[in-house]
Order: sequence, then structure tokens, then C-alpha cells
Amino acid sequence: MLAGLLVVIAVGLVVVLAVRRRRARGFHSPIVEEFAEVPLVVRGLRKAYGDGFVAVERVDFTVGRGQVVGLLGPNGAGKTTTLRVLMGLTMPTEGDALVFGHRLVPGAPILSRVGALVEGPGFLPHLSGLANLQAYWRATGRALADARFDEALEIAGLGDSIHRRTKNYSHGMRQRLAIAQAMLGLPELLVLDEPTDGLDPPQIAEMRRVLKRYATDGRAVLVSSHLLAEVEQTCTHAVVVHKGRIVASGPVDDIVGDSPSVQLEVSDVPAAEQVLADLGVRSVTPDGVSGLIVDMNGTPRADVVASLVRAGVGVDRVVPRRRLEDAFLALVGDNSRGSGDR
Amino acid sequence: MSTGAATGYRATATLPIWAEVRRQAARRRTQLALGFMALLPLIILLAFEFGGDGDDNGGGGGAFSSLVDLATSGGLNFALFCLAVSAGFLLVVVVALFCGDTVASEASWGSLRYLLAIPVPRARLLAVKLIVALFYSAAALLTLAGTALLVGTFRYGWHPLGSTIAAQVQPGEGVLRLLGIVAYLAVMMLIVAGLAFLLSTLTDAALGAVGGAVLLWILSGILDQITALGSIRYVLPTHYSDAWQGLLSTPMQTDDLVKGAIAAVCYATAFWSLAFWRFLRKDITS
Repeated sequence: MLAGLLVVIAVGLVVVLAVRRRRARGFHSPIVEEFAEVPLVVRGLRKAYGDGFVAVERVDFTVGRGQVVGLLGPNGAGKTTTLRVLMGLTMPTEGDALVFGHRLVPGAPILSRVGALVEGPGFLPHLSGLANLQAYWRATGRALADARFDEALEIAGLGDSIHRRTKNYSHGMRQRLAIAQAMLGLPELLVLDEPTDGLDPPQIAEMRRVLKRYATDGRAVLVSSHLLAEVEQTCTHAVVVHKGRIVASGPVDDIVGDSPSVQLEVSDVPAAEQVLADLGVRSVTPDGVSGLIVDMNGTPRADVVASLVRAGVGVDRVVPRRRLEDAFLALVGDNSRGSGDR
Repeated sequence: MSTGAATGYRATATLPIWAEVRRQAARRRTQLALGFMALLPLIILLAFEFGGDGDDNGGGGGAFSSLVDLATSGGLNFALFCLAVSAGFLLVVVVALFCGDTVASEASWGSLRYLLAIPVPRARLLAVKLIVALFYSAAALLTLAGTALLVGTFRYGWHPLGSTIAAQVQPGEGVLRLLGIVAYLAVMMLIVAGLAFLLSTLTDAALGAVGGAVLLWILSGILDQITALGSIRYVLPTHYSDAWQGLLSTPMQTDDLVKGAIAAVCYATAFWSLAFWRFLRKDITS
């Protein structure tokens, strides 16, 4: 009876494995030739959780070779959820992501060409930094020579601390080690979630150089950040997300350029509003006690200042704004409350 | 068809068993648990040496007290005693530790998501982790039995396996019976291993998985004491956990052993199936 039972279990196991293999072959989706040379294409991605919470409403974007793309948004905009899908940890409710034309599903072999740091480092606390990287690489089953340890260790820049246990590391040291781990094997697509978190200013500057250099030889980098300056200085392209949707995207140079709006600080806000209304600007929005944000609608800045001064309104500051800042501040300033933790 | 994987990547080569053995071997808890299994027989031996022969168990009869009385009569009896005192709780804790901690601790460190992003296929990750956890559990059990037999024989000599409820068993056959007991305990521990492993895939808290498995095992043991439950007791996972004592009598009573083994295999299969089923479908949120 016992032997019979064991035979039944063994047969059951074989059947399950055979069915899985058969299904894996059946479901193996062909590559999308159109995107075979594109590091990442995200199409109509949506993620809703079981409790009805929608973390990502709809996200579409592309990361081309040689680009450093910044996924910019306030905390809770859905950045991390998007990146989790890119690591095959979370299954999208709708839409998909393609890496070099291959659909990303949990465990898809194409993930081996993606290096990732998502939601902070994850290390075995009892091993040294170096032993952690070695243990990680052993788990890939790939040849030791492909890992490029020397380059990764140089990026981590931990010096002799690489031989200390990671549980004694500071936040910034762990972060640098995690970025080095993501770069092991020089994957063609690098996905980094808040990479400068915990780094000090010189290290942040260094990291910017590293990322720019990394995105050469046909490689690409996708970084997420909630800091506008970070994306402006590091990235070639930006995708601004808010409440699970994309609100702006394109090359940073394009969207960073002058926007039609100006920030003013004046001595008499009501009087200034009256003057501006007469000038025919598109909109005037109060900003703080003495500030105004004015959508100029083509009126030269000099004219606005002249008119205000003529009407007896003192002008303390005139700051031209940039498009990316407009897009971003509008979100963070007005709407970030209540967006929930995504 | 091309999978588009990086050079040198093969799904079946990821997380080699040896890599996982080394991952676990470097951990303090692995070293401590295995070390303690080797140390326990020595502690018991010292206790017998220095404890004198004060008879304070009030003459409580039964198989267990006879084991105590006979523990110093030879190496085989000493090993038997060590196994008997460990079977009820210590082994359960150690097996739950190896099997319950393995996935949950990776989740709590955050390294699980990086393993899955290599990508190690989820089914492969679980299979390798399970095999290595079972390997360490078996190593713990064998270390305990081996060390006990060794130090017991060294101190008390190579004598027949004695028992107050049956005739003496010659050393050669005694070793076989001892091996039989070890094998039965190993099969029983599959239930704990299954339960702990299932909990390990469900939670990010290693302590929760280990503790949960031990608690449920104790609960089952308590329910088994309540005779009013009648035939329900026969399906409790712990019901046949003491059936190994049947191997001590002559002739051996193997009815309960077979029932116990069948129950253990069924429970383990069910728990592991559930663990795989769940883990292959869930969103990793650690």
C-alpha cells in the first residue's frame, strides 16, 4: 500500500512536469520583430490589486538604446509597481512589457539581459559584500568570466569594506553594492529604482557619470526618481507619471526648455492680478503669499514687468519656468495628497 | 526558438544545488543547529556521568522509563535514548527551522526578488530550496544518531539492544532496528518539513513560518491526547509519531509504522503541492 502510494505520487509528479513543459511550449509567444532591437517597450500597462486598488492606471513608454530614461513622479505615482512588473515579480492586470521584443513574464529568460535594483538592496546579512556578489553570480549559473567583477567593484567603490559583512554596512554602502550587483555581467538594460537614495552629493555626481557612461555601446538605463533635479541632470529622456498615468514624456532637452509660464513675486497681489488680466495672459494662479504663476500666452516678460511697474506694483522676482518643472510641480504641489502608497 | 537570453544563461543551470548548500552553510543558524545535534549526545552523556543514579522518576512505567533505565547499558541503547528524547520536540524545531526559514528569510532580506530577477524560474527556486532544506534536516538527524551511537559505544561498549518490554536484540540486528527508527523519524519529519515549507512561501517572516509549523505540530499533539475525539485522532499528523517504538518489540509491530508512513507521505505531498501552486502564482511583494 505504501509502495503503491509512492508510485502514484511519482507518476503524478511526472504528469505535472510534462504538462507544464507542454504548456510552456504552447504559450511560448513569438518575439515581436518590430521591437527586437529596442531594450524596453511598455504597452498599456495596468495593475490593479485584489482589493480594488489600482496602482498603475495606464503606462506606455519606450527605452531606446543609448538612452537614460527617467521615470519621474511623486511617491506613490506607480513607479515601483511598474518596475516590479519589469522584474517579473508582479503580473500586470493588462498590457505588457517587451524587452528586445520578448514578452516579460515571471521567469522569462530575457530577464537575464536586465539588471535591476528595485525597492532597495537585498543582501545576505551574514556574508561580506564581495561574497554576496559572488553568491549572486553563482546563482545565475553563468560563467565567472562574464560577470566583470572588477568593473562592478570599481563602481561600488567600497574599498576594503567589500570584505566586511553587509549587515554592518551603512545605507549608502548597501545602495552602491546593490547598483554594482545590478551591473554584474553588464546587462543591456539596467533598471534602477531611486539609485541615489542614501548617497552623499559627491557619490551622486559620480553615479550620474557612471549611468551616462553605462548607456553606451547600445545599452540603456531606466531610473526612477521623485527628484526633478536628479532626472534633469542624469537622464536623456523623461517620463513623468502621476496617479498611475503618464502626464508628460520626451527628451529632457525638449521638455526642460522654457515653458510659457513665469513665476512672479510682487508687492501687491490683487493689483497685479488686475494688471495681468488686462494684458490678456492665459491664466494667473496664486503661489504662496506674494507669488503668482502666470501663463504668458506669448506676451514678452519685459512687457509684463513694465506694465506692473507702471501700475505701481513692485516686482521682487521674475523666474521663467521650465516645462518639466511645470508638469512636475503641478502634480506634487497640488495633487500629491491622497494618491496613496503605490 | 531563441529565448533571447544572455550568453551563458540556461534556466536549468540557475541556482545550482551546490550554490544553495553554500548559501545556507554560511549561516550561523545552520552551523549552530548542526553543531548542537553533535553536542547533544555529549551533554546527555555528561548528565548521566555526573547525575549519579538518583531514581526520581517515581517508577513511572511504560516504554520511556525503560529507555532511561537502559540508556547506559550500551551504545545502541544510548543512541536510542538520545533519539527518543529528541523526537518529540527538538527534531521538530530543527526541521521546521531548515524548511521554514529557507524561502521566508530570503524574502525578508530582499534577496528573493533578485534571485527571481536573474531569473531563477520559480519552480526551480522552490525545488532547489526544498531539496537543500531536506538535505540539512537529514544531516541533522544523522548527526544526532551517529554521534550518539559513537560516544555511547565509546563509553558504554558494544552490547545488545536491551528493552524491558521484549527480549534483547543482538548488536548486528540492533543497528538495523536503530536505522529503521531513524528512517521512520525521517518520514515523520516530512510532515513538519511540508508544513514549514508551505508557511515559508506564504510569509515574509521567517520566525512566523518556523514558529507556526512548530505550534501546529504541538496543537496536533494536544488534540491527539483527547480520546473523546475518537476516530478523528487517526488523521492527525502526530497520531503515529510514536509508532517507532513498535520496532523495539520482538517480533516487530509494523502496522502503525506503515499507517504512519502513509499519512506522512500524504501530508507532505499535499503541503508541498500547495506551496508550489501558491508560489508560482503569487505577486512577490517583499
